[in-house]
Amino acid sequence: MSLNTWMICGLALYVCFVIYVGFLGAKKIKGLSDFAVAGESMGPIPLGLAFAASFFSAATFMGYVGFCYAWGSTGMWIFLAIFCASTLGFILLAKGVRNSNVELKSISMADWLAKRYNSDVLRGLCSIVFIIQIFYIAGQFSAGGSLLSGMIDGLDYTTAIIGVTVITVLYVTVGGLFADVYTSIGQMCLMIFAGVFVFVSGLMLFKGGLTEVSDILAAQNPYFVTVTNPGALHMYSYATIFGVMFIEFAFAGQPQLLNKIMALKNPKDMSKMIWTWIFASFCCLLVMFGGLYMRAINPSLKVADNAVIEYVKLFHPVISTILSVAIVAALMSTACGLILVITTCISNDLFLKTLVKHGIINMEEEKAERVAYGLTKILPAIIGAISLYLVFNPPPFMGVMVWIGISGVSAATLAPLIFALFLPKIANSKAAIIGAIVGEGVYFYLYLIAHIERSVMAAGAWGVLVSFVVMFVLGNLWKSDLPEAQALNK
Amino acid sequence: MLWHNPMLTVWLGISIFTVVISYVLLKKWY
Repeated sequence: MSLNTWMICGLALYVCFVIYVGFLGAKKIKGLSDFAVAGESMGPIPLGLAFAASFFSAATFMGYVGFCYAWGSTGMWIFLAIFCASTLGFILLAKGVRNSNVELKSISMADWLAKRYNSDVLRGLCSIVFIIQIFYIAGQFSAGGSLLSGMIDGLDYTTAIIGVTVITVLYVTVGGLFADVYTSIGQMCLMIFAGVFVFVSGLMLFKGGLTEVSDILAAQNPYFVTVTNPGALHMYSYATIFGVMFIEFAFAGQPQLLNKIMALKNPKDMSKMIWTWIFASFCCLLVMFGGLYMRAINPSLKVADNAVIEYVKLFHPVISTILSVAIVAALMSTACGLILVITTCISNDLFLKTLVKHGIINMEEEKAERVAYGLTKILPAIIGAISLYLVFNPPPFMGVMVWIGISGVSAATLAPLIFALFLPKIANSKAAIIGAIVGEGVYFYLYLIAHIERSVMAAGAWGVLVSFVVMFVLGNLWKSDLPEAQALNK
Repeated sequence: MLWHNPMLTVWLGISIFTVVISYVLLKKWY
């Protein structure tokens, strides 16, 4: 059988699995809370895997492998940023968020922050900021389009991207977080296999192992084996590496990840959930070695993002198919997690808790609940359509699309989140709102307006740092008029 | 340097550090 036939069979099987699980999930959903956090009813290992599946996306499998291909071993800083910085971020945030949620009963990040700061302005602000994640979703869909059109002869980018969008929207609409979590487990197993396979296969291809790969890379460019690489977009100096580490630390506070933490049935199981993440993330990230191997094999690929596709084509069609399906799985699970977050934000936080609650939209409570639940059925399709529109023509850099979204969210929400958990005495709602706006403003200014920082990741990190400083200064200034945060702290 | 590659040496070192520090933090906090 040819690669084409294998690919089509593999994808068909995967789609059947995804739809089946979506329907299984649908049976369990009875209301908005079930849709969004699966009613706090899931075990630590499935949730740890789901957390990892939402974390890893096409950016990991194509974009980051591309970094290693383009810039050599220096690209491995992204591995470390995720494995070390994000893990520490996860450990720092998880306990506080889950424990406080026993009392707050939030069903989203915006909801959590709003209850914690007792501020619906913050809720509205966060809900609006989270919509920027549409760029992140669009990046995933575009990666799916490029991957499938690259692997299957005769399939064009447009058809591929429409297919990926429709399937993703369908299963998130039907199954909510249950579907997200259940398919994530299967997806994560595929991704772990892909990571380990790529790493080990290289050790077999190169008889001298990593030493031989390093020697070939060093011969191509001495900076390919050094700790910083002046030619790289993200790791050209220690300051940028710090920025990358910091923004990946902040990444652990992303709303689509925190909702997995909120779904954990027993907060005492948190440590098991984190160990599941540590194991899964390490195995998965090993895929980045594929970029180094491909560089050593063929240094003249035109598009660095395609390094992993070219690498898997070296193996039997069955292996190429499994690895491709793993990448599709990665991008779909991430896109689903994000669609879920934006849907919950608009239906719960913006509509129910801000517009209806404050009488901006006049509606009885029971009817509003029904409308909000109805919105969860329509919004995924709308979000899917907007994302599709953004990348209907392939963007030049998929990874940049993705990070416009991630940095945008982190710049506004990380400081309020950290202050609420660790510095509650100065966690003032006014300071949080101003900190969020200034952080977001700095990020937009540095990266999108003045183009002072060429790395979108570092620009996000500077935004986060500024919002920390602003919140710290204002929080201390307004310490005395902050009864609500202190009351919550007790 | 391990594997003739300073960056991969850093990679191995920080990976091991992550597992150790995670173990310590999880024992202490959780």
